[in-house]
Amino acid sequence: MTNADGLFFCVSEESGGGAAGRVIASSLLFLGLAACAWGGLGLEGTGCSPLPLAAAGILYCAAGSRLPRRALAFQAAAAAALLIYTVAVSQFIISGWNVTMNGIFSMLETHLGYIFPRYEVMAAGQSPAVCAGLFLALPTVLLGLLSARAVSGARLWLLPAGLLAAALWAMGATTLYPPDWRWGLLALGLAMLGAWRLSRKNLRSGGIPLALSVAAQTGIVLLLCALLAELWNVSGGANALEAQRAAKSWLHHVRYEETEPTLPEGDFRNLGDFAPEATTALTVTMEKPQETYLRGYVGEVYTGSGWTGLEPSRKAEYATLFSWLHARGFYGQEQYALLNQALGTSGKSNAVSIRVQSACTGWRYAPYGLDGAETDPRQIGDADWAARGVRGEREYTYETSGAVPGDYERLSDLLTAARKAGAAAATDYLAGENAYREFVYDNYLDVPVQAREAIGKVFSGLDLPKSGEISFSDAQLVVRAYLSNIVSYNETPPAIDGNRDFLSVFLGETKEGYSIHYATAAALMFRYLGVPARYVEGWYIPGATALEMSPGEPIALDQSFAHAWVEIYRDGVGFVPFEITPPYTDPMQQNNQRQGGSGGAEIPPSEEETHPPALWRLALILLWVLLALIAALALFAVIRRYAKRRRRGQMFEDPDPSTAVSNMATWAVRLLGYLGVARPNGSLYLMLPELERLLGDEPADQYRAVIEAQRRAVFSRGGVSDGERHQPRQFLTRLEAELKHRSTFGEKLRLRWIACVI
Amino acid sequence: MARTVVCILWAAGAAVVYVFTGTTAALLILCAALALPLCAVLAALLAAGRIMLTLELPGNIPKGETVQGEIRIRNRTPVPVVRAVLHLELENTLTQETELLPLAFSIPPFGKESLPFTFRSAYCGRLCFKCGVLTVSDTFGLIHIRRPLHVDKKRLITPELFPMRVRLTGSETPLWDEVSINLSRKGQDWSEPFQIRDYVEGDSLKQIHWKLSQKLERYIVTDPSQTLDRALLVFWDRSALAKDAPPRIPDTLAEAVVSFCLAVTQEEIPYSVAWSGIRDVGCAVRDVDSMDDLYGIIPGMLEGASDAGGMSGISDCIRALDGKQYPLIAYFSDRVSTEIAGLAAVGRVTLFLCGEDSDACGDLACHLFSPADYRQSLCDVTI
Repeated sequence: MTNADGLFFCVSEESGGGAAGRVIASSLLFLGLAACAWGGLGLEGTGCSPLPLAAAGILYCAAGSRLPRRALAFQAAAAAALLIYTVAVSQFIISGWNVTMNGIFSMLETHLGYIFPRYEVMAAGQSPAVCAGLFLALPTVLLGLLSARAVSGARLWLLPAGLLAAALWAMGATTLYPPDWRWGLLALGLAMLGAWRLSRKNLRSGGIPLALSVAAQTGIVLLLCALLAELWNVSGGANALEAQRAAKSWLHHVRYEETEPTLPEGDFRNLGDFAPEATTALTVTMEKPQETYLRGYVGEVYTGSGWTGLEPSRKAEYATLFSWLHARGFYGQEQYALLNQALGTSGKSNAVSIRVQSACTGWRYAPYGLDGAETDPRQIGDADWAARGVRGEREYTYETSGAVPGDYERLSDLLTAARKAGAAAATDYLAGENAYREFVYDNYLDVPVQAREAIGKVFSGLDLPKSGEISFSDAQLVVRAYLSNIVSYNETPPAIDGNRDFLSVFLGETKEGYSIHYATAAALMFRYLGVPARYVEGWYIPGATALEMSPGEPIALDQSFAHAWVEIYRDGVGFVPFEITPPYTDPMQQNNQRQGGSGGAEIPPSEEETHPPALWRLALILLWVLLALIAALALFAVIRRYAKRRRRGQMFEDPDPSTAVSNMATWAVRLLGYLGVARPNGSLYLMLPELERLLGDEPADQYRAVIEAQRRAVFSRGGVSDGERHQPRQFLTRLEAELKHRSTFGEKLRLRWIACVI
Repeated sequence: MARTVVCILWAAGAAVVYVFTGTTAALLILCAALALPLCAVLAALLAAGRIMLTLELPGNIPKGETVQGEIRIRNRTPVPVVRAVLHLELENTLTQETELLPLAFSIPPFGKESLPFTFRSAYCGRLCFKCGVLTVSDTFGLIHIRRPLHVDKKRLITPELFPMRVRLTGSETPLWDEVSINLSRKGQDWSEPFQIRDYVEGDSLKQIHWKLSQKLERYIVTDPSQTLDRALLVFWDRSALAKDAPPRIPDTLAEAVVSFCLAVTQEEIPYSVAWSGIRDVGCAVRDVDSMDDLYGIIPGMLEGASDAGGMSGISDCIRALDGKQYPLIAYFSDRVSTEIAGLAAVGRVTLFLCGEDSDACGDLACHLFSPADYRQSLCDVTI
């Protein structure tokens, strides 16, 4: 409003209106945020239906929007309903919270591969899904109110919505919640938020037509983007994995490594020669110096260009198993010590202290046969041992009951005897070990196709049993024999292209390598033969070096002590190291093979990677395109029909009765044309006989009256009165009904969507 | 600016998410982060060029009364406009008052919108309504497209007239046949002598009055008189108005001038009206013989004066008169110009000053009035 000395100038009405538009915008925002939260937090695991929650959220989007004064009663009723609801369901809220948190923990287990606690659910007579639904209604309502305030409230209200969106982005970037179709809905909601915040201070805020048109415009663009994304994203997944790997590698290097890493930690893409430097990597102090393998990085899954750990989602499947095992005190890292305890053969322990200097601090380098170590009860599996802290750990001490469990065959025999004798400790131990063994055999026998083919060629002359079972000792003999015959040790082998299968090239072409090559080949060969095996990198103190050590005297290990080996699973005993690299093999170790003990399982079936045929993918893309076109056409048809009928309605409701009657009469003649009564050249009265024949006397009389009114409207000075609109309107209604009645289904479609007549 | 930053952050975040997840949905979000603003900008460019505006105003706007106008907007495109702003400028060209009213609105595709507004002017004059620029924002408020509009409407607020009695005095002869002769001026009309004098060398033989010459036994000549068909010049010196003059001054002057002219017209006295301050022309002079003539020139008189920096328009007026003489001149202004002597050469000047004191009048006849008492002061005037 402006007001100079004598000039007064202002708008007639204050800004307002557009409540329906705000509700639509806030509802779309709410649906986007809620859908992403539902998917991101894994709430589908609670078992409750999202539809009632969505309805409640939309209702409170409406209640929280800036509504006209007359809607205050609705807002008050909504507030009262919320209060009553909270009081009424308070007894179920705790149970609902527990169910919801259990669902979220389940999702976290799948993504992080760690064991999360579970709440006990006492549902007070209701099913857990109902309790979860009753509880989730409250944050849903809160989210609805928040969405409404973000659209129509002060800027401060954008902060919570912005934080939620930022959290989702962070979850997406860290692959905790990779984007799915719900993010498209979130994008639509955020676009509506941006548009409605812009229109907040308009004189007239946008109503339903504006909201729907903005939503339609945004939706069409999103649909086109979806099609483009579907067409372009051929190698997105592979590139993303590479990016993730690169980011993790960089972060790992920044956190834990001060120099160039000595060990590749499973990444063979740029594997160079073994050229150790003289810098001290570790300092080890042993109470009783002996040959020791210090396990660092453990590779569980062979990727073709190296080793990685098990996927968190795979680990999550065994969360319950490991919860049970850990509750019983069974840890894979201490399995050897547990076995000794069960058999009553525990000997003197050996304290091993390790101080990391230039080696990577991201792993805890632990010897075999740990006893009483600080194990993490939340960890699923026992492959590697990540160091704690931002920069890792540098000093730690272990107690072991034998650095290299060389007498595992003896222990295996003792265990068998104890089991047959029904010793309680042995039986109890075997109960845990059996369960753990199941995990080991499920996960450490996989060999990819290409590697399997390469090994198959190597073993082509080997007469393997059809069942695939081979004894543990036979497997050791076979692997050692074949590897020593077909490959040779070389610390400067030819480089292997990172895009090719490492094992295939090593076994088939270069046939030269050092510990890393040998360990990889051995691990996969054991798996091929049915013996669970893992690839291990770490530090190896040979027996000769240990003999030179004084008890309690620290020994500095330089990079020449870096080593890779394979560890194989001995049933009943656990994972034991197997030395295969020629300079490190000890004739004594070779004698440690004994008969018996099934270390082999059935040779697992070959993996068949299935790829959807290209033709099917093309058909899918074309189907998407077709669906999008149909949707666009349908939307266009709906909008067109609405616009035409609206315009026609306005013509019939013209303020001037004469104009309105004339328009209605013209339209009536057109409708008669669709009914089959053609308009003649000349007077409209000439249509009467045909009309009478087709529809009867009464409609013909009505038509006559309409034409008379139309003539008065057009030609007479006085025109027609307002009350004379009624008859033509009635006649039009009748004609439309006749059209609908007499038309076939196809004609109805044409009249409805193309001609927009009915 | 904030919105642009948010869009950039969204795109950057989407790029990071796509790099690390590689899902189709992530690529969709990244494409949308680029496509949505681009499509919104293109849609805004399309809509900006095809929005139609019409300004509806009442025909008659009484002075001091509040009236309502309306801006009707029509979107002829299939794209919605979430925010558009137009600035409606209102100017009283007589009093130089201006006001600006920003109007923000949104309009759906193929939609119509009307924005009513009210206005009132306490002073007479000519109201100019202008919509110069329409600023259309895209759906997300990233860019603002300015499109020039040429919506320009004018309305006249007629001055409130008051009864005046105007008495004319001076050496003019009474009118007959719409001709009056001012015997006090020398002119070109040989039918009536201006004066009789002795012959001086250089006079034309035509001027010799032979009868008188024979009688007086010396050459006597007559000078022709100037024919005047107008008894009066009403001159409103709008140029002389001070820049910082309050609006009530030109309003009072306008009402005084028009009421004066009306009174003279009602007496069926033919006269001329001149007003200065016309852009590019300087001064306009119009003859008034009837009410229709008067009503025809009022809108022009109430048009805004060009900025002369307070300089008088007397010289423009004299130039426009092109040598024409008037027996009487009624000079309306808010101050006495230094060029008033030049005007006095055209005719006998009577000053009508709004707001000045009597000392400024000098030897000239003067009527002083103010916005508070002009109706009383000017109800009966003699020039």
